Amino acid sequence: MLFYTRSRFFRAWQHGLKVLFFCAVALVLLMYMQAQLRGQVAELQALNTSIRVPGQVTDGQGLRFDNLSISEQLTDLFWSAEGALSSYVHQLAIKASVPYARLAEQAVGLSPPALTALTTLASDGRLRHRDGLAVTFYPDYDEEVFFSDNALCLIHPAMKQYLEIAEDDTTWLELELLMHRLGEDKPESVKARLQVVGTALLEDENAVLAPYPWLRAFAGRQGYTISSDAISFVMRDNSQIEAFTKQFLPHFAEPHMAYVPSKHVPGGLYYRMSGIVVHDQAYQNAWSAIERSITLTRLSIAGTFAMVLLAGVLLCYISLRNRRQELAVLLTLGSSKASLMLHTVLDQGAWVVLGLITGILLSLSFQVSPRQRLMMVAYIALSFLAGITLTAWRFTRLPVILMMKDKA
Amino acid sequence: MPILLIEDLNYSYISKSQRTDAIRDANYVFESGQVYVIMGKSGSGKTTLLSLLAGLDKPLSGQISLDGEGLESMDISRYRRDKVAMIYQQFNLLPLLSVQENVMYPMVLSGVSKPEAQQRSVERLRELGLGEQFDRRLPHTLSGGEQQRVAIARALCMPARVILADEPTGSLDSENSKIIMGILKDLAHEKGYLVIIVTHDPAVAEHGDTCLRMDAGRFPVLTKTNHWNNQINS
Ligand SMILES: Nc1ncnc2c1ncn2[C@@H]1O[C@H](COP(=O)(O)OP(=O)(O)O)[C@@H](O)[C@H]1O
Ligand SMILES: [Mg+2]
Repeated sequence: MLFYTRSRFFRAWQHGLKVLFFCAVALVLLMYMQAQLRGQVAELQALNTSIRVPGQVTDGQGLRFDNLSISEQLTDLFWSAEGALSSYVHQLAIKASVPYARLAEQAVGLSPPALTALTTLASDGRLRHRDGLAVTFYPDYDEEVFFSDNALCLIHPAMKQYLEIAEDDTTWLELELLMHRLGEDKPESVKARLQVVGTALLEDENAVLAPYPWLRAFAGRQGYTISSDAISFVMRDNSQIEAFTKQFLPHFAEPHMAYVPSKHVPGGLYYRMSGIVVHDQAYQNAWSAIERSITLTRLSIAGTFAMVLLAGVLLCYISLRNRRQELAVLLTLGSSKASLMLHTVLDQGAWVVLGLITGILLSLSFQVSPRQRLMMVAYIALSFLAGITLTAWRFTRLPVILMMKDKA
Repeated sequence: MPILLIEDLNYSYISKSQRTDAIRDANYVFESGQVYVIMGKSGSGKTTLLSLLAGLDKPLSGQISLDGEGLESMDISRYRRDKVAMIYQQFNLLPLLSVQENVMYPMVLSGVSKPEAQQRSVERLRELGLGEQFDRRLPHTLSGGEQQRVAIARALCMPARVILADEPTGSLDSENSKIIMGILKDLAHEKGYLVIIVTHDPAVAEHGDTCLRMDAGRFPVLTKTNHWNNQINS
């Protein structure tokens, strides 16, 4: 049988060339798109480190402007599944709104920014006041800055009357919270002690934010739902921009939770998805444009994969159908079906291999990782192998008597 | 010396929409050293019968046996390769192999060494009047008569002693028909082959020792001219 396969290889190369051509083109196409994708992903990564989010920075004597770059770890979390959220829970801050605003207004006489509890001070809350460090949220509204090892607290001096330093150095704020009981529309007023680690200015509404684990536990115990939102702020830094950046960056974004009406609790809400939202229009525009093209490229790769599979099977099928009588003659001369299968696999396989080699050579200059290169080669090889085996198996199942009667 | 026996043979082509009973209760004994000619209308089942004898499919019921051994108990590929040889109206040479390679192919398949296969193929080709100039040519460059002789040479290289020929002269002129028939007859009478020929051509039928008729799947059918041996039917 090998004898026949070899002869056919050299004498029917015109047919083989079709397979070679197809495999080479498919591989080059896939490599090209993969390289494209790689480029787009790299672009996205570059965007993460290069784009500057405008932040206003001051040292207390006047306004200064600086740009902060977005750290990669934030964007990694984009639209992570809810389950993944728990591992970031210690970084979350939750908005509980209005009551703090009322309190602050009484104390300060000005419309306050949101009080935000930015992180985990639950266990490690030794806040230290930094002299001379203040954040200006808007004209005439400054807040003092407290640092701990892993978080910061911003608070208006007039609000300090509500602050209390606990034995374990955790900072607490006594205030009323408005909270929604599950299934009810009207919020209820609840007295609470909030852990406080910082504040930031929310876009349009006053809110208080507390460490997520704490707030969740608090709300959960009493049957409340908590809603959260993204925060954004204009940061006015002081001379210690480095330290500030370090402290702020981990909190620059926070999880955004989308809600849909619960099917189980009338009027109730439940989490559907969560992720990190970075509030910067330029960044978001650039990001989503690249995201779109990545999605597009991914789709075309998937489409091409499917087409390669289909075309591979089709090509094998047509080739075998045209050779039906020839194959039947081989069978009548006493070739076994197994050796006939082997013949068809080798017969096409040789050209597939040549096609893949051609494709690899032609796409050498594309920027594709060796692993992906290998995967695509393997994919094409496998889809052809599957196509050949499947069609060969299908054909050799026919009784020879019927194959002989077909005139190709 | 081979004896090919068919007993209560039935075969049908079954598709989703219909069923064609191509062979109905055929019984016969073919003996070696003889040329059998089978005639019959188109569609009467002649090709089907030969194909079953060549082991190209299993009968629906009944039995075929060669020298007392049932076909169903043999390795079918080896039976096709070593026990019977088929010759067709369309010659059915492998188009990509040269004349010599075509003749060598079944030998190589059964494990004969290449040099030996080459030598045997040359001998057979020369015996059949195909000179050296044909060895390297591809089948489609040969005339019908030449192609048919290549097909016969291919059959003769194997140990098979049963030759099944389906309209072997159907594509040949009368000159070439005569040559081919002469070869087949010699094989039966001088070398002891069992030769079964299906034909439309009365001139070809003349060469047969026994002329049989097939009609709507029934085989053999008595006619006033036939002189078939009804050993097993009576
Ligand atoms: N592949 C097939 N599928 C269905 N019916 C077939 C097939 N081949 C042959 N037949 C039918 O079987 C009968 C016998 O066919 P065949 O043996 O080729 O006859 P012959 O060789 O005597 O002309 C015919 O009726 C024919 O139509
Ligand atoms: Mg016929």
